Amino acid sequence: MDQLLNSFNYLFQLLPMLLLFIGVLLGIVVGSIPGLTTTMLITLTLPLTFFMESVNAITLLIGMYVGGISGSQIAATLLRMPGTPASIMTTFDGYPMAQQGKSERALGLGITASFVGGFVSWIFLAALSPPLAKLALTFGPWEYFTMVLMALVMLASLSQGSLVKGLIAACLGMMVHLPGVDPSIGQMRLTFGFESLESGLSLMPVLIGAFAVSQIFKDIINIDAKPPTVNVGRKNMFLSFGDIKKYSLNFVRSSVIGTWVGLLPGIGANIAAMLSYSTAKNSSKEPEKFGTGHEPGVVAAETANNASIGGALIPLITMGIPGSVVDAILIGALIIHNLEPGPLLFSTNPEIAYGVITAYLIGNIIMFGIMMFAVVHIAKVLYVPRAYLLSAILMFCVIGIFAVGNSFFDVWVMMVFGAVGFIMERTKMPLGPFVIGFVLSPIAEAQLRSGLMSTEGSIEPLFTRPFAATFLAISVLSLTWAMYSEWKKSKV
Amino acid sequence: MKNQVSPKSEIILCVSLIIFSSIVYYFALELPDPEYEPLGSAALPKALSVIMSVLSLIVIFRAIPRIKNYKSEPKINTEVISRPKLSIIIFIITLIFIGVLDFNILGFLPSGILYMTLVGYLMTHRDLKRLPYVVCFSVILTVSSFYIFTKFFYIDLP
Repeated sequence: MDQLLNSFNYLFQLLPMLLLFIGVLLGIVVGSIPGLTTTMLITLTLPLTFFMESVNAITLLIGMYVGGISGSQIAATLLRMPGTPASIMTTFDGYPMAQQGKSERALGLGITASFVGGFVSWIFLAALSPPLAKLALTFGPWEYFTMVLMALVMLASLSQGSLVKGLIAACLGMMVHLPGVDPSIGQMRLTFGFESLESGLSLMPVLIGAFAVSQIFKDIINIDAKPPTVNVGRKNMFLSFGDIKKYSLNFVRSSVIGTWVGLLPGIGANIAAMLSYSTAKNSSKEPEKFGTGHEPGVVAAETANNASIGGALIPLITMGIPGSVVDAILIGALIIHNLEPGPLLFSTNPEIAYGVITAYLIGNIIMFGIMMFAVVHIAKVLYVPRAYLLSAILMFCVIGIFAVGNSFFDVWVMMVFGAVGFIMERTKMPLGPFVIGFVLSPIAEAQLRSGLMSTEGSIEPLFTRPFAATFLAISVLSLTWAMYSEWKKSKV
Repeated sequence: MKNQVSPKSEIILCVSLIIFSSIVYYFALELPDPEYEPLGSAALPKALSVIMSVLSLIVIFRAIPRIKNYKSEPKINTEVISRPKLSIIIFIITLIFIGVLDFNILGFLPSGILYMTLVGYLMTHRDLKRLPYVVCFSVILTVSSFYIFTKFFYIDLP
């Protein structure tokens, strides 16, 4: 508790607060522009955080995460173009409401729902993280290995598109991390005679290439797309006490669904919103009204997608396991700052672990304030000319990556992975498993080899240690279920 | 649900992945045998190469029967024109820009201004009326980023 209060005290200082504010604002702005994603913003900001204190860097990135998911509802409501996949479900009722002249009401509902979802999931984050981290301290190499395996399998199984392609993407991500020094015994491997590969491929060029560069080239293809102009006012944005009471059950249910879905490795905010929306529809007395501009639809979708962030942060700070792609990038940010994500974070760097928790809450409050009072102005960002925006981002990618390692090799790597990411997207191969495979493969390999060394080559602990056996069982079940679903789909 | 990816592209991609896996497997064979622990450095590269090849083969076998029946989606008359060529051209220009900087052919300021102007000009559909704005934007952005990186972050750009 003391550490949580210390963390609040730290965040209320000028610099961290300013960074959090900037992070949330940038997140909202970028999240609201269709085509630009929160993942892209956070990846692009990573090189700049290199020059910051670790707590401040994480604070800035958490602000962007919160702002990005919330900001995506602006374009979803006004233009039926979700800024990020998290707001796809918001388009179902938000856009019809805007068409009926109730855009302010739809945005007001969505913003309040985002805040409530964020707040409820923060309670779970603050309450569950410290005991879970303590529990995770009892984990050995077998538990870690099976947990990483579970994260990879679940992400590959639940990614949109084919299971096989998800698994290929995960394998490719793991293979990309192979060149360089082997994490267990220091043996040099797979450098193909290139000196630059001896230290392996760095995280940032791969991430920025796969997410930002590939996205820019994807956006250039559709550069002519121009959103229609929509006017937004500020009337009717604030919800009355009666509204809050009316939707209280929906708020709580959607927050719990969002947090729970976020907790599971690999499932993002879009699935949380989808599940919460269908639950709200199924439990409604007027299910036929969903999709026609029905207020509970907006509440369910926006509450759950924001709540999923808090849920996803729980495995990240307690076990170092990413709940989503953005979380994998946040793990990358911790690694860049020489911090070890996982249960030890609470004892070795409590300022970071509690910093994440407090930044998430304050970020949500800032998000609510900015969105409620400035959404009228932020909505204008939707019409920024793409030619200027994309060329500027491309230039920043080049100099940002050069700045981090002072090496052009990294810039070339970024371009190669830009092309790889672009091809993967065109062939419907999900990028999520690729990135998580890349980030987690050294952990998985080191833990497996350390486990095997301790048992002299026996894999018995996989079946005898309760947590390891549970994680392994979940992995096998997820894989079997995904294979069965795909087989069933192919029969239709 | 209809698979929108052309089976030929899937086959080309998977053949490339198999070739890549074979290269990784070949180089993994050169790694020494394990001495102090059961697995050794070569185990993961070899295992991943095999898994990747098997998965790629599955995609290929699934794609082959679709080749005959596959028809690319008819072009729908929308207001938005898709510009894949523009994307490829800008990718190539970006590679040239990086090459110019890497091989010290030009410094960051002149090459950055030229690059931004060219990219901006192409993205605004070679509209000469907008060229002055594009040039101004390029100069401001390149010069400001040069000073931010050199004066604030102490990074020497070429």
